[in-house]
Amino acid sequence: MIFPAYLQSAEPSGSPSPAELDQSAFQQIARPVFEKYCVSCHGSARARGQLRLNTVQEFQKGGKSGPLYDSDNPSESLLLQRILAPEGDDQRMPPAGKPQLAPDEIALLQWWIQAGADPEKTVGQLNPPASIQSILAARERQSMGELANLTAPSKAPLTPKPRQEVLLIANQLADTLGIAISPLAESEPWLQVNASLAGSAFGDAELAQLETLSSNLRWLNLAGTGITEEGVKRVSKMRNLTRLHLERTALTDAALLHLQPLSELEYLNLYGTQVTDAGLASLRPLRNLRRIYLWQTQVTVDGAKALQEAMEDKEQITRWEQEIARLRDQINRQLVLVDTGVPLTPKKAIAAPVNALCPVSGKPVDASKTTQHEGQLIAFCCDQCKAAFEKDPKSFQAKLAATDRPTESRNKE
Amino acid sequence: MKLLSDLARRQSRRAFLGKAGVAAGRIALASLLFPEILRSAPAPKRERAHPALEGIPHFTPKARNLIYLFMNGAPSQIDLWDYKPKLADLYDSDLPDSIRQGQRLTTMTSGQKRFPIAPSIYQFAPHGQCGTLVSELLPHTAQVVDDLAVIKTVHTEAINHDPAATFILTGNMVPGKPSIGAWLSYGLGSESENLPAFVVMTPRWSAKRDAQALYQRLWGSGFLPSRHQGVALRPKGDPVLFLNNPPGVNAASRRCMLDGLARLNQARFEVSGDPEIQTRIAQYEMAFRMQTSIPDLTDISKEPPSVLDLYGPEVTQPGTFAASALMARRLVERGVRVVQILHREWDHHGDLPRDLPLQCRDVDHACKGLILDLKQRGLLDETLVVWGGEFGRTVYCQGELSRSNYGRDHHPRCYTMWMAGGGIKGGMVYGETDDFSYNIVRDPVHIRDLNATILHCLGIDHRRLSYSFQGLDQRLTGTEPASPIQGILA
Repeated sequence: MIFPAYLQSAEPSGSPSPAELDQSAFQQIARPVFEKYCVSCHGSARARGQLRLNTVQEFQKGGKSGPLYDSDNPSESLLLQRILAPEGDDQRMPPAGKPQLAPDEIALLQWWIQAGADPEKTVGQLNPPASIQSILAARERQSMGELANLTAPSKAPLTPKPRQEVLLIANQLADTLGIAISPLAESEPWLQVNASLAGSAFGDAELAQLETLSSNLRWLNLAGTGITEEGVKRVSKMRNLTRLHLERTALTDAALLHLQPLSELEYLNLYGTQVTDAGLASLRPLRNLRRIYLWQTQVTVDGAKALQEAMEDKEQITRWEQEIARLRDQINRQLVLVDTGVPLTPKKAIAAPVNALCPVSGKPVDASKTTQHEGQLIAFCCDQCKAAFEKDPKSFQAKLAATDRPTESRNKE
Repeated sequence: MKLLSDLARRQSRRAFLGKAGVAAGRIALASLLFPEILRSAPAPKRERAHPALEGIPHFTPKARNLIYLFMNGAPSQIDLWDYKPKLADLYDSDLPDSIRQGQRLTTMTSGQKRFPIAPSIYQFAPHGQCGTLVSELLPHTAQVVDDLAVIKTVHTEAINHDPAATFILTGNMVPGKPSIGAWLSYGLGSESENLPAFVVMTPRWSAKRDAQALYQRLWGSGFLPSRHQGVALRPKGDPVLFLNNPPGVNAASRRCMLDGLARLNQARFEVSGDPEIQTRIAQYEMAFRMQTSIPDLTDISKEPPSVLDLYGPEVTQPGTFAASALMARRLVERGVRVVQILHREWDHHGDLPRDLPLQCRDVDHACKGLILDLKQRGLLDETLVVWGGEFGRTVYCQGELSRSNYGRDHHPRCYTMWMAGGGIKGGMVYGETDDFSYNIVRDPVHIRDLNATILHCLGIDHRRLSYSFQGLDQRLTGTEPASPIQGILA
């Protein structure tokens, strides 16, 4: 998986992307906070204190207590006074009982007010300090979901040529060869090539002309072209490839051997070719391969399964399955908590007590007189013994151990 | 002076003031002051048919093409995807106010005294390894449910067809904005030199009703240069009218004519600087190439019978949804960026049990066929497929309710769409609605978010693809917040 380009060039912890910096500061910082916490009382429906916060103009107008922003003394602005007021202070906003701003949100608002609260300026123009930048970057990462991309970026065995240099060559080649070559992502040196558009007119000679772009190619589409095994030998030098289309070509098993250097290959399309089960074995070294398409070939289901099994990392899969089960359990617990408001308590809380004899008096227990202690249900003969135990549980530990029911299973969670 | 006033008259206002052809506008403005500049202005070189914008994709895409299956009229989610078995006990009871929460009604049901609940008469069952529940009306789609991300919580504000379809397909209820396909054509361009970047098909339908009208603006280019508009292939007869040479005109003479025409248009461009002239030249070139590429596209005689069978029996009948679906796959194979099929008449205000099964039979088999055909060719990894309408349908009955017949009115607050292919996790259901399929309980997806997701899968940050028009950096997702749906992204 490849991280989005604009994150690759940023520091890992902390700069927001150019897109983020280009946004209006009011839209990115102030407005989301107002909409989340304020407009229910200070919005189009209601205007407590004659204050509305649903538009920039209303924000600038202020309310009964005056404007929210003090240009002479930004730190003393009314907005800051309200959100920074101590808890319990009845001037504090949002009021007690309503959801409160997170520390990050307060930090952002504070910075924005002190930076001039200018609704015309973008985030970038206000020159946020590093601490603010990392808050913005973290929020952006969360909203763009790069956290979902848990795998590391694809490696590049070959160093690609610089983007500008390679784009010039690429445009010329695309025109002469009648194919499509375009960059894969902004500010990255990677290219995608689609030669299938030229059909059988594109052959080994034409592929040879692409060699100058070898180290920049990530996606190469040679579907339906006239390349032969000779051409595939050149493809084997393009070791940064992650996607390779070879469908509907005249290739045979021999060609597959030449694909072995392509260590980063994730996708290989061989439909409509002459490959057979025997040829598939050549692909086993390609540890990053995730999808292989073999429709309309002589490969059998068994041959495909054999390849899949040879390439499976069974231990890793088992580890992942265990991790998934553990995470599912965690999610279920959280869902129970959210749905019912009560944590999923361990089963033994309702189970029978762990002891048959009272640890204080030694007499048989009364099952209605129980207490929880260190996750175990302990029964007593009477309330006085229960009270005594609860006052000083340690002194009865030895007796408790002696009275444990030997057959009782302790449901330890 | 005459030269200056001539120039001012011929000046297209858009070229002069607008961003399109801003270079031409600047040259033209300078030429008003210094006429000799015009004569040395560089002639625009021959461009690729569908170039991409500089800097796009913003990040490595997962999908390279989009196939959008738009079910115009709004399919009933309760009868197809959103399984609510408890409604069976509430047959003919009134929709509680606590559920309706003041949702505005259309004029079609606002006069009703009652809003009786109409449970679905169709059976649902779990399918695939993921166990997604699908109605019996979609038996074929149910077989590919392991490749689909079913989103049950799409919502919109629009409650009638025209604004709603305009909203979901162009990003705004107010007409005049470019459609999704136009934005993608503008941003990503297209790889095929011989076919348009954005192709549209409008197959026939089987429900026994007249359908809501479609509007060209649903695939139009809005304020973008008109070369980005969708090209609608005619469902029956010649896909493109007057494409073929009339008797007496052969390809060589056609080419000769076009070259001469291009030189004349170019001369006009150098005088007036109107960028629409460049569009015109490009369209003539595209039409010439389509004279060979369209017959090649529509000739399905070489498709193996096993492939045709995937799409169902109607695939060989031009003008059906199945035929359009096969065309969509062929278009995408040939490098066309966006294909949109608009299937009409899902608007079942009454007689839903009569019409909905007919509509489903139109599309169900072919949807499965399309997914499987793309998949076996390895194209599903690189194609994003989207299915859905402009809003949902109400749980309460419109008109008379009986055990065997009912109708449903429009419902914007929750409905179901599915996505599959490049960048999308298969075999999942996203979001949850309440027991009445009326409100969203978890994970709402505004149609803006849906459009942001489409752009995201194709490598575009929806906040950064914009076009300056009427003083605003216009975007498909508009000015309100939107973000891609993280939960369904692979």
